[in-house]
Order: sequence, then C-alpha cells, then structure tokens
Amino acid sequence: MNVVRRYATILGVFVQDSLAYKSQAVLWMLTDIAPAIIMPFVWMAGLNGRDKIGGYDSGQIVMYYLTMTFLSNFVVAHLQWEIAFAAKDGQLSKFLLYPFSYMRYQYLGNIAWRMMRVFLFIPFALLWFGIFNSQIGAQTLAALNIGWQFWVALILGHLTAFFFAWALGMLAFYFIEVHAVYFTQYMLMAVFSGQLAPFDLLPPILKTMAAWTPFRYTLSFPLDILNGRLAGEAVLQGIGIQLIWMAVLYVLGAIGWKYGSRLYTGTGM
Amino acid sequence: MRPFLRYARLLFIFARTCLVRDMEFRGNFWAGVFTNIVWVGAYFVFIKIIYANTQAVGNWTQGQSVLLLGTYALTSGLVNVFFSRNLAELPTQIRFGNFDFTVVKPVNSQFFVSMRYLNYTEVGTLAASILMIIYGVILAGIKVTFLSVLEYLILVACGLSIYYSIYLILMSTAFWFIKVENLWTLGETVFQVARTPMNIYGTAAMKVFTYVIPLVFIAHVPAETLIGLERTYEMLIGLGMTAVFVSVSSAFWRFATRYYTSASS
Repeated sequence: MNVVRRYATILGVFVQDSLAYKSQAVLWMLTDIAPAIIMPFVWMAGLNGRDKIGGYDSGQIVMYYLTMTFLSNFVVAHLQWEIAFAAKDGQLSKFLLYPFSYMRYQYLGNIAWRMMRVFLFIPFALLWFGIFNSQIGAQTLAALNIGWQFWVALILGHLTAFFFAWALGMLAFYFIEVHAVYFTQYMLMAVFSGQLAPFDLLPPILKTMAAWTPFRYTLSFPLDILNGRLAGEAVLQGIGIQLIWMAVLYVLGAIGWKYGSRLYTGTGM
Repeated sequence: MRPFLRYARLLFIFARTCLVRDMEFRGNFWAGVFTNIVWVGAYFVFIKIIYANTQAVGNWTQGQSVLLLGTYALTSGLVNVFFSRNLAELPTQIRFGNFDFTVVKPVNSQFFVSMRYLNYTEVGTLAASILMIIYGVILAGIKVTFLSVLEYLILVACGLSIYYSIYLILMSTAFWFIKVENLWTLGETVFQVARTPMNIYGTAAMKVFTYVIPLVFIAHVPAETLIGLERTYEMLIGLGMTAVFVSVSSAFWRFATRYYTSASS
C-alpha cells in the first residue's frame, strides 16, 4: 500500500508539472503533426492515377501517418536530454539523495507526459479527419486491428523506447558532448521507426537495416499490427524480439548507471 | 554608396568576431555542423524512399525533387547563417531591456538586430545543399545555361528576402506580446511545406502560397526556373512579392520599435 501511494504521489506531481507546460506540449505536437500532414500529400501525388503505391492505397497512407503520429505521442521518449542536463548541471545530486530510484522517477515523469500528449492529440486528430475526409472511409477505420497483439506490442514498444532513451542518457556520464549523438539518433529513429515512411515502403536495404535496430520495435512494429500489415507468426516473433531488445537495453542502461553514476562529480551546482 | 560600404564593413567585422568566437569551442562547432547535415539528410532519405516506390510525385521526377530540396536547404541555410540566431534573440532582448543597447548604437536598428551574430555551424547545411543541387541537376539531366543560373540565383535571393521578412514581422510582434519565441517555431513548422513540390496541395493552396504567404519562392519557383518550367510572369510576381514583403516588414519594424518601453532594463 505504501509503495502504491509513493508512486501515485510522484505521478501526481508529474501530471501537474506536465499540465503547467501545456502550451509547450501543444507546440511540440504541432511540429510532429506538420510533417505527418505533408507526407500523405507527397505520397498521394506519387500515386499518379494508380490505385496503390507499394501496396498502400491513399486511405491506408493517410491512416498510417495518423496512427503513427498518434502512437508516437505514447511511445517516443525524450528523457535522455533531461538526464544529460542533470548530469552536467549538478542537478542529479538531488535525485541521488531521494529514497527512490532515479530510473523509476524518470519513468513516471515520462508516462505522465505521454498520457497528456495522447489526450492533447485528440483535437488534432479531428483536424486531420477534416483535411483528409475524402480519403478516410468507414472501412479504413474498421480495418484497424486492435486485438491483444497490438496492445502488447504497443506497451512493449513504449518500454523499449524508454529503456533506449535511458541508456542514451547514461552516455552523458562518459562523454562531454552528447547532443550531436542525440540529434543523430532522432534522424535514425525517423527512418527506422516508421516516422518517415511505413516499413513496407522502405527500399530493401533500409528494411534490412531497420530490422536490426531497436527503432523498428518501438513504433513501427505495433503500427504494422494496427494497420493490418502483420499477422500470425510474424507478430509473435516480433514480440519475442521486442522482449530481447528490452532486456538488452535494460542491462546496458543498468551497467551505464552503475559505473556512470560513480563518475558523476556533482559539479555545476 | 558610402553608407553601403559602411554596412558592408560592419558586417565583415561581425563575421570576423563571430568566427573567432565559434573557433574557441571547436568541439561544439563541429558537432553543430554535423547535426545540421544530419537534419538535411533525413528529408533526402524520404525522397529516396518515395522514389523507390514511384517514378514521379505529381510532375516532379526524383532529380527535380532533390534539386527542390537542395534549394530549400540553401535558402533556409542562408537565413540561419545570417538572421536566425539574431532574430530569435529579439524577444529576450526586449524582455530584459537589453534592446536599449541596440537603440543607442549609431547604426540602423533593423540591420543590427538581424545580422549581429553569424552562425557558422550552418556551413554544413550550405555544403550539403550545394551537393544536393548538383546531384539533382545531374540526375534530372537538366541543361543549365548562364541565363537560367542567373534567374535561379535571383529567385533564391527573392526567397531569402521573403523568408527573412516574414521572420522579422513575426519577431517584431514581441514589442507587444513579449514571449513570442514559440511563434517562430510554429512558423518554421509551416515553412517545412516549402521543401515539397507545392502544386501537389491543389490550386487553392497554390494561390495562398503565392500571394498570401509566398512560400513558393523559397524553393519551388527557383527549382522550376533551373528545370526550365518557370514562366516569365512567375519571375515578375516573385520580384513584386519580394518588394512588398521587404518594404512592409521594414515599415512594420519601425512602427513596432516605437512601442518599446525599455521595461526591466
């Protein structure tokens, strides 16, 4: 009971914190949503009178980018910046004194932000339907697969992204300049996690590369289940790979923390 | 001619001091150059992905799209080299009353707030953009002539001026609304549309992007010029819109500075 209360209290603080930065959140969301409105237009112009492009018709393309943006609100984690900042600035000292694991603390912070972003996204989704109403029919919506496999893959994807961001955050203990690494990571993530384009439409070489990165198993894999691109054995196999990635990243992050936090000097306070 | 030379000399001095400053933090500098190239690369990959699935986007072939993206990177890179760091600082200057120091200097205030600090990390973007333009021209098999290059450069200058003018107008609203940094983030988000062919959004949108927010001149029309699709009247509209935006933004700047209260200085 005590444990539950502790978690609930910290989560409550984070929810208030995230509500205080609503306008910031709306802005970040707009920067996410703009490319995802632009790209369906580009794909549809690429149809050039054909019905389908790489197995996607215009409704499916539009639906892909909508669901991608919607789910990325829940999946993509950005906590590496905050960890790096705390490690450089000396703010981390405060957290080391807390009788609560810093990783769990970051997780609660992350989930509070994710939930708020999901709620704030709903009006944008409506705007989307307004723009693309001629492409999205009732059957496009009905075709979405929201069975248990999707939910499992989504939650595992969210956790994989969290452990990945945590492990990236640990780099700040070892290297002076990490921002370039983080920015590069966003570019790789855009290509391999399905933010730029659906996995199916990647050229073969990028597809192969994506399959070997954890990015594929954060966002793009649950998306492919939702949009009916994956079924049966491939889904179970993917969930297995998600579990492996989660374990690998968790261990890397734990090692990074164990030795990294010893290197931390508390300077900058 | 004298005032022009004076400002050219000033700009040269700014450029020199900024270079010295940037070179003091070399690690940061190269990291900045690198990340800027990476960002341009992301959309290049998108072009590669889409053309792996189709021959043309609207009437644009792959080479033409690469040229378009290169042109967008060139224009926005130039804006970032000269203006972004400065105009982005304007709201903070106003908030803390530091704008006082701009007002008392014996130079044109618009010049000073727009070009005081140059951002050298954007040379990465510029280098990448030039490579993409060359690659696009070769891939699309475009025959460039002296005249078409000249027209292209004139239109890039138009796009640059329009881009800058919109930026200046948005940031000038800080004299009334103070915290407007976010307004520019929003602006940049909308501007991303300029790196795609703008005729794919329909004729109504094309009209808006030509006459209301003339984003077509940032990359679309210059690229069309080099390809050989541009019509003379587009050039004339470009020059006209540039004249309108430069003079309106400058007038708006002079009007806005009158509302500076020097609070919290």
